[in-house]
Amino acid sequence: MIHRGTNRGFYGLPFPGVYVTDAEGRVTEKFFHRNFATRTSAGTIRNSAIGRILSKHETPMAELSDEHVKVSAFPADEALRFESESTVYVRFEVADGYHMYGAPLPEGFIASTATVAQTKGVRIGEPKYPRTTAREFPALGVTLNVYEGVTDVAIPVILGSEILDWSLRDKPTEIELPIEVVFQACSEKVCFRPQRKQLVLKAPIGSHVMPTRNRRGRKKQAP
Amino acid sequence: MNVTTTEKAAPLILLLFLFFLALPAEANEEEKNATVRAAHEALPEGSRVDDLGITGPVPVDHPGRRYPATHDFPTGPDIGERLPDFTLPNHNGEAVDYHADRGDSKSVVVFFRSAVW
Repeated sequence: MIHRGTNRGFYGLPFPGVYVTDAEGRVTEKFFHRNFATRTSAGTIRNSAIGRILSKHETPMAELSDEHVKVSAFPADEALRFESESTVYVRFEVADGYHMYGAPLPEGFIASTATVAQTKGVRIGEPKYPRTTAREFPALGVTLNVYEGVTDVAIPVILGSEILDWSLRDKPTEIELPIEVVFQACSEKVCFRPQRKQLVLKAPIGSHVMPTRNRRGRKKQAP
Repeated sequence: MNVTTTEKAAPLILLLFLFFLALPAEANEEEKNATVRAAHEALPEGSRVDDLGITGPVPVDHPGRRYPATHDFPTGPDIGERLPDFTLPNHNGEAVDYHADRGDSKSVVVFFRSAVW
């Protein structure tokens, strides 16, 4: 920031944010936003601090199952809040003895992906994929990146100001997030047909201020 | 007497001209950079005392301390970097040394507002 009277710069952190540190005080993750009105949700920070993703039984989920892969989606928080960056986790659970592929891959191989479709009132960030494991396939003569067991893809989502355009009558209590997943289950000897499937996560919306009506019954805009 | 469209629009055009004339002129990029400098530039390298006499825990050119006169997005210590030592009073007025008080625990350090001085 520049002080107008002196044209000098200010010191320190000009943006609000959060540091997560390890036992030695070293930064393991940081959450900062250019817009001071946008903050990272408690659930996202909590999961980063404890080093694992908590999935409470009361947290909303969407699920689908393939013969070899089970897919579920759930948010980091019990509800989405206005201008609070939460995380939608898409969890792939691959059956024992099977694996699926992760980018980067040679041409012809299907990488596993998870995306949230564009949704009115929601800003969607880039999915974050975990590290893959490099496995050798002697029969094919290649080394490929694979996911085995449980794999969580984290997708940042922010409930935006567009929801304030909704009328009182349509005051939203939840929002539907369409999620598309692509994966291909393989064993040591055979790969099954690639799958492209959709699931819908119904995420509750936390309490927020909506446009009200003034004394004369006319609708007025929220500040 | 017939009044043409142009004559009808003349007052409006004049108003618009005066409106835009009254708007503050924005400096171009060169002008901005010419008048604003980062406050630490004239200080000795490694100095922890800035030009206002404020002593900080890290040198004045540390990303966590200075705000450059640009549109950068400085967010302090990077991932993998140890947070600096600092001691601050808690809500009871007791001095708390961050690293000493933390011991071997992980931590979450929240700047709910910015920390700029």
